[in-house]
Amino acid sequence: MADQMKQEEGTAPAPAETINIIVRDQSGGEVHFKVKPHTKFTKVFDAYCSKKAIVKDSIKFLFDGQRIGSDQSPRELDMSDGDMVDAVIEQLGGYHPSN
Amino acid sequence: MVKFEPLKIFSDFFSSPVFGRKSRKISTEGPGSSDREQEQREEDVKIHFQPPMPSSVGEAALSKEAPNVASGNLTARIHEFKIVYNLFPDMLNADHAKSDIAGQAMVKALDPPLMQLNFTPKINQLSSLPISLKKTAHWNQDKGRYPRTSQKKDLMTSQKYRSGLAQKPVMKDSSMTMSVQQPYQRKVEGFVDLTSEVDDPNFTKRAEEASDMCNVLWKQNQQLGAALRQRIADVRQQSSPSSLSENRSTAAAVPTSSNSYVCQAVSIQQMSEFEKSREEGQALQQNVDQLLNKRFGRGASISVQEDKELQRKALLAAEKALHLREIPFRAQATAARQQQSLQHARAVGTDLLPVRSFEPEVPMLSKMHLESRGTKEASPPTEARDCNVISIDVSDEGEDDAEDEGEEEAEEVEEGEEEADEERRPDDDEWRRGGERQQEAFVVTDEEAQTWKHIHSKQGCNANDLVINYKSFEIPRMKMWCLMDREWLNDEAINIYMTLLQERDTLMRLHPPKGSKPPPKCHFFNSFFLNKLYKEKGEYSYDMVKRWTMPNRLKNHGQVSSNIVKDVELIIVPVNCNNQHWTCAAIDIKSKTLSYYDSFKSMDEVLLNHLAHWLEDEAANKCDNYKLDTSGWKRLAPKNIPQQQNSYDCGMFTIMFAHFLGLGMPFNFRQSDISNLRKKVLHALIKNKIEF
Repeated sequence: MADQMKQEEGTAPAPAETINIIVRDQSGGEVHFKVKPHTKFTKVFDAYCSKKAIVKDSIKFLFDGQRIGSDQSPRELDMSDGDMVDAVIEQLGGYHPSN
Repeated sequence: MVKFEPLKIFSDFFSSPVFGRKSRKISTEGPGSSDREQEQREEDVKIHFQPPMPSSVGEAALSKEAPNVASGNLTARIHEFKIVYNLFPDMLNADHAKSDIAGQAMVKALDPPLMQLNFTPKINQLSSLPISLKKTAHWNQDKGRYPRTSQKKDLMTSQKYRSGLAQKPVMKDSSMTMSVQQPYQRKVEGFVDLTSEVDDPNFTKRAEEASDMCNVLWKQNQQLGAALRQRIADVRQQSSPSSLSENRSTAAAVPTSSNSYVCQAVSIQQMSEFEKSREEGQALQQNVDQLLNKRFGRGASISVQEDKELQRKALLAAEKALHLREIPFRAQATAARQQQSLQHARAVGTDLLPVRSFEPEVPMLSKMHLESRGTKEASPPTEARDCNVISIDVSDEGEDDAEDEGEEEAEEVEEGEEEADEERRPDDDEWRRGGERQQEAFVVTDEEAQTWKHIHSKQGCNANDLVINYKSFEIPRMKMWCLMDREWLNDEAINIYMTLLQERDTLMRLHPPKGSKPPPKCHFFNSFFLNKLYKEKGEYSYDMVKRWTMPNRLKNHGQVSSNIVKDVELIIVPVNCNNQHWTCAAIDIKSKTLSYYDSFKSMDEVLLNHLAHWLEDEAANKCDNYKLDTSGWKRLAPKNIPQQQNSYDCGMFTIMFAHFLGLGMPFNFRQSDISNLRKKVLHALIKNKIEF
């Protein structure tokens, strides 16, 4: 949590022990994260939420349809460089208003 | 009781947007960042942090303590009681039931809005804490006190939408920065490097500061708590049942028990008011009953003019019902009235009713409610009652709840009329079908009731406590409040239940239930599947979900089969429609059928076509270019399935459709079961196992 983030210069090649993970929202906006394979996802989530200025509760992350736990790491999930993570917002429903 | 957890506050504090995230130096901008952005970031980093002040409520309590006891001043005593009641409701409730009922009734009688204060002390004490904490507390308050407010608004505004008075909002929650309605377009919004980890000394320092402050606050609260405990003991002593009964016969003028007499007097007044309102309610109900019978009775045929007249009458009735709802509030109105009551109490001291005369309030209102529910669901009135028989939270929320229901009663009457045009009532026999049904289906066990209470108790618990930690679902308590009666379900409840169904499916494949035909092999997608497949982009895109069904992903999901086209018989997809409605879609590969199960009787051909398209692509992609042709498959929207009779239960219907589809059984439930099923589903979610 107390890490300091550095600006990455464009598309500089990532060192071998890091991978790029792309978090995309439902309107196609993408945020690229350079992480170590063992980094816990909670860091990515926090950084993403602060970047987008949203509350963490309001959003969840899916990797290939599976919910990502904040304690999991890219290595645990078999992620490779350039993999996409979907950020999805809460869905609600009660009845069909048009009926 | 107000509970303080310094560690929890501490951790919340640092994950808050005010402090934790913004305090770091964030350099997340892409290559094109400008100076202006930099300035903006500088501003973000500034932190407004002030030391906490002692609670205002607590100070008031302590400062008023001495004079009150001596003077026996009624108003001051009342004030005291309020404070004590607010801060130690459960101590009040624990023993000394009789005097406590008197005390509670008094608090209710003297100041109805006071009941809203159940959560206020928390907020006051947190007044100097960061925004995120305060927000949580406020949220608690809203959720706790008015669990159905937003929904009510929805209901009311939905009338406007229908009549075209208001424009429909695009999304329910506009606070989100991401909107479903934005056109999908790929764009890179930034780069973040998380690979370097350096400790921020400034951060540690601030953490220590905050920790100290939390400790101070905690100690203050402990002191306050001790003082108030003393106070409450005194108050109890003075208004204990024994002293009450002694005094009753002799002198109503004894100051120490006067508060009880006030309560009793007020209660008499209230009772007469309630009696009156109940009579009016019955008259109203009969009136509406007649209207509905005339309209929906067997073989009824009425002209358009008569129909309009009926609608007008029903609207009048609804207005009347709203008016009736006000009566309990008015009954508890002013201080002047309470003074009168005191005089009255003194005058007729010996004739006063015993303390237990307070009890009828809630049942009476509930009865009214039940009756009006019976009116609303005119054709199966017995079921309407069934669904209200087991209602555990009534005891928790007491009068609040009863009044809320009173309010809704009016809306429901109104709504009942509006929906009349949509042919829902004439064929209500249909939704009752769905297989032979045992009378005793879905009885809530003690354990389930316990879970229900545990999750929905609002005192002494934190809305952010993790209550589910299952397969990377980390769910705080507040997300599960959606399973309270009349709440809209959220995606968490649906998706965790789908995961549990998948697990049940696996178990059933290993140990098929004996004595019946084996259930179909199922796959359960989550509710985001269709969003990714076509809803977000606005066009079909197989690539978005191509990887969802890779063998190792299926394995992680809990699916035993490695190929869901070849090895699975039934694919079930929960569907979220515009963030307003839940339905269930199913692909029956065995019988070549695509079905759309909607508890509101609608059909979505587009959705089924996309699903069919997906199945073809999936077959081609995962089964070595296997050509599957779904053009001849049946697309159904079965009409003889259970239908919801309200505007909030569709999520539960979706869950239950999936539940019974997975079992390969007919839909053996109906609207009146949903209240109990909510408890069962909640229990299953919390225990991570479906046991019914």
